[in-house]
Amino acid sequence: MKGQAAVMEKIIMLFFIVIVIVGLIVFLSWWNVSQVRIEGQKDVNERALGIAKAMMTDSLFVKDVAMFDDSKLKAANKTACKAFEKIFGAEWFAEVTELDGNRWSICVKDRKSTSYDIPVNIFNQESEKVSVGNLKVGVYR
Amino acid sequence: MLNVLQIFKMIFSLIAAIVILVFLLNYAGLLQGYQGGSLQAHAINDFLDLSNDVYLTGNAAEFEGLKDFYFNAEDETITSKTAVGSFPVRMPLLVSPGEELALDRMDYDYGWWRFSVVEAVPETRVVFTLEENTLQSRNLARDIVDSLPATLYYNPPVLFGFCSGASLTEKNSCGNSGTNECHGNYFHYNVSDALGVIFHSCEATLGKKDRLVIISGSCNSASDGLCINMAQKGAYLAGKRFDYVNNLDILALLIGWEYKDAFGNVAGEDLYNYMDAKFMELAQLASTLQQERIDVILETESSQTCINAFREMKNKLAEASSTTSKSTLVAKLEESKHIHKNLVMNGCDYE
Repeated sequence: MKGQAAVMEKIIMLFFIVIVIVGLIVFLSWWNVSQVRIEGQKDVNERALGIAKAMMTDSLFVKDVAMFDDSKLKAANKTACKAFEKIFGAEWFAEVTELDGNRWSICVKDRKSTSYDIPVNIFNQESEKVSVGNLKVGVYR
Repeated sequence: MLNVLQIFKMIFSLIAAIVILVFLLNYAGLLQGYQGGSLQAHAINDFLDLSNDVYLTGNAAEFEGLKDFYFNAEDETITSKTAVGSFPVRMPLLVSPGEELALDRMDYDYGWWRFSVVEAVPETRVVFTLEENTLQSRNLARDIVDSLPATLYYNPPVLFGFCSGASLTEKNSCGNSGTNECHGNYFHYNVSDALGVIFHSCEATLGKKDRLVIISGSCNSASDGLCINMAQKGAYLAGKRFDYVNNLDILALLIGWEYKDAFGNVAGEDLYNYMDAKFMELAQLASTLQQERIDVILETESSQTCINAFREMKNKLAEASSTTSKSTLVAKLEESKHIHKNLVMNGCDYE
């Protein structure tokens, strides 16, 4: 009888140890998965910011850093979205809006996205005047 | 004396302990592998972030901490033996694996458009043998020196030297530096000292970090290192001949070098093909966009001088964007650069 109780004691102890180990494994796995998710979201944010930074310095779009050229934006507006995948990859968009309402968009689709708005200058090629506008750059989810 | 129950308890405890221990060890091993891969993935991400910063700002930088990685030129990714997955490279990048890397940006400015490429180079000494010692060959050597990261204030160093016969001169060719190491800033000027020097084939013992660049009229597939024949516009590396149109081709071969990647491909050849394709792709996109922009400008432009020059430029760019030959593309870009200079001088466009 005493022997049986000792065996039961061992089995119960083992049961609790296994529960603790399984709990630990579940926690570590959950932690790793959540880290991967956070990293994924961070990547999306960084990509959108990266595209914004690249656009604001690329001579294909700007006259000077953060000063867009409206003639270059009009040219980009007319060009197929696929062409820009060579520079920025797929699944992104950009939209430059002048305060007076002019708007130039590249690869804009009606889909959910993570985006950033950044104030920029816009140089008018014809009048040679600089106006204020907004650059919206996003990555589709 | 042990009774049956005690023996049973001992065996039961032993089996349970072994099962738990094996399971925990297995899981810890898995987790360690995952964490190791994750650390390497972080290192690759950090490297790509830094490369992007260098690409956008043009400021040189140094990076340490990448192990066993290689650049897959075909799908433009960086992979590592330990990290899970591959990481897309979003800017033109010329990289040679190494734990410590010097990063810098090189620009090709065509006035209306600039092509930039990031270089990431480990500790290297480029050793020149100017078997053909002319003004052009010395200029090419200078261009190569200027194209590589300037590392006077950075690590790892990218150094330069001359090799003629059995003598390898780094120390003496760098008189003003005050050190035994010859950085590009000093070597650039000392290339001029090579005027009139007769170079013999390099027979000196070169180390692992040395990269021999021969400029000669008699390069062939048996030539050592990177052999450049300026008259034929060809370069030999690892027994293969490559056409070179601009310094970008030379740079890709020099940075990739004779090293073989995980698939046994010569890295220099991979980088050469990748950079060729990348340059053509981006230059043709830029040409197409500039043609569209010229159409936009012509809608409102009133000066006949400007209109004529813009039209001429558009014709050149149309040829550039439709050609399949890199030499034609570069020639047309150079012509467009010249026209753009005139447009700027006449106040039709900005620099």
